[in-house]
Amino acid sequence: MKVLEPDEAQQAIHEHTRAELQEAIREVQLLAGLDRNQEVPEPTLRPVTIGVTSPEYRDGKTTIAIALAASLGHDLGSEVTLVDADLHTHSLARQYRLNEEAGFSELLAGSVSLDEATYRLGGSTVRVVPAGKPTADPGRVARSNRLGPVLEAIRNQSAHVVLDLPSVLNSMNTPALATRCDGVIIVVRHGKTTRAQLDRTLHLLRDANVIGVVVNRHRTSIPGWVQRSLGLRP
Amino acid sequence: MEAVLVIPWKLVDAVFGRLWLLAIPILLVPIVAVSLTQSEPEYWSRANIWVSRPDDVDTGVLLRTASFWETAAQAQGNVMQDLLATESFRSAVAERAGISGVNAADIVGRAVSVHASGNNLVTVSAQTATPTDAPAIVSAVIAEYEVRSTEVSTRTAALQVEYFTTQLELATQEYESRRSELIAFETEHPLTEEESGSLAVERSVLTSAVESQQLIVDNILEALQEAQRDAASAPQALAATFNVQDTASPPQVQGISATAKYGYPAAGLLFGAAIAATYLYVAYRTDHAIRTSQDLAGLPVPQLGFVPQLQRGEGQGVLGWAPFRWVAFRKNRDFARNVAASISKSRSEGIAP
Repeated sequence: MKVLEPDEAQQAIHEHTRAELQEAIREVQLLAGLDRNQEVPEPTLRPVTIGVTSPEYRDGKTTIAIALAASLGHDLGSEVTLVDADLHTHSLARQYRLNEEAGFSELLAGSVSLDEATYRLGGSTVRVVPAGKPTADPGRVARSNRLGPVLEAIRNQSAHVVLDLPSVLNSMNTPALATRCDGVIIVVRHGKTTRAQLDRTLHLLRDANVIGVVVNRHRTSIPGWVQRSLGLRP
Repeated sequence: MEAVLVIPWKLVDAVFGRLWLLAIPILLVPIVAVSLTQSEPEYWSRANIWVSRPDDVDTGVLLRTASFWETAAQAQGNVMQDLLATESFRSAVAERAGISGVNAADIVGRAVSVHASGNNLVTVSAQTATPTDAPAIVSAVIAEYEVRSTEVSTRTAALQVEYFTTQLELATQEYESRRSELIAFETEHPLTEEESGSLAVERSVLTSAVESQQLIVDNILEALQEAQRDAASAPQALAATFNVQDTASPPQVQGISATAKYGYPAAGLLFGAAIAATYLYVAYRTDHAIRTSQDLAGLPVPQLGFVPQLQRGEGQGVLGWAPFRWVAFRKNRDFARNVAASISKSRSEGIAP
């Protein structure tokens, strides 16, 4: 298994900014029921496969998936595998500069082993499975008969598996992939995603176990003193 | 059951997010209203003149053409307005009032108003930007009118005197000539009882010529005397028909009405607020994007949280402004992912998870 070292951009992140994101993700962990150590031998706490998707591109699902995986690994110390299941955009692979490396699509095709397609992030318990080389038919790959065994193999080596799924309204592979997850988190973008898009997304994911909705890139123009005086909460 | 007041978070956010856009009409419309309606204070003055048209007094040349059906005030007012329509009269008034400049005559024309306020009362008023000009112009109009009226009457009478004097000289010469012919005839043909018919006819013709010329001379003489009388009595005639009752009043400020002072700005403020409220309402109602937990109400799944927008450093400065936002977008591209990825390396040493 190859090891990836953090690049300079990640090292230059201000601690305050990182903590801000980390706390928000911890809330997601807590409310999604993920904030428990999966190494505790409880039958109800089976290794969890979490899918992260969104209605549209650029809503921030890859960011949330990365943050969730990193946070689970950081807080719980458990083995976490982050899988780039978005065979359309390869966002995760681009983030870790693994565009040309074998990954999920090759795993499903059976051309590489899980160990060959997995990369460990240096200094952490997080592993990354990139999307693999671009394939002409992501739909067929996503509906491969090997999808179940491959996911099971990934689960067996991790306490948590986080799948970066394609955006729902742009890929009909997502509902098929989402049903393979124990739970799906939908990421909506503040000020961009409409309620109609979210309703349509939930309708398409009706066969999956949707855990909840995360509002990403949240911001407000309301001054703090107004929020306090009106008792407003997002 | 006590009602719970639900504050629409998205509406409050829309208010503060568009604060400057909302403030623009609220501030701008009253300013425009004030600039369009407010004016400089104006000063006015007026004088009342008693006018009449006595039957046995010559009213002067200017009023001779007045209609019988007009009142004395209407006749005098029309004459004054006719004079004010002339550049020379206005210039003379301006000079008399001490107003100088290229547009002095136009200033007088715009400032002065003459109207009949009764059958025998003419009011001359002036409205100006300075307190000294208004009474000066009113006084100057009256004085210049008096001078013009007297001058015209005197000049016309003088012309008539000259004309009738010339006519009288010619008529007198003709009269003397005819009378000499008659005397010569009577000397040559003294009147007798047995005068022949032809001599009697000739005598009668000569006598009639002398008598008719005598009548002409008498008529011209009468007209000449009348013209001389008019020339001499022009000032007195004016005094009999034109009598200033109230001289130009001290300048008084034309006060700005409460409507102009407070009403229009208040209306502008309300109108600006209405524009801002309409814009806010439209923006709020057409914004279907998810912004708050209220937008997620009724979902069959729970809300897991709000992840804040991550910014590089403390705020974006000018890059946060709409025209430059794309620069910030390019600059912060993948920043959030790098922050997310950096979590995995921030393991706290010595603390077992």
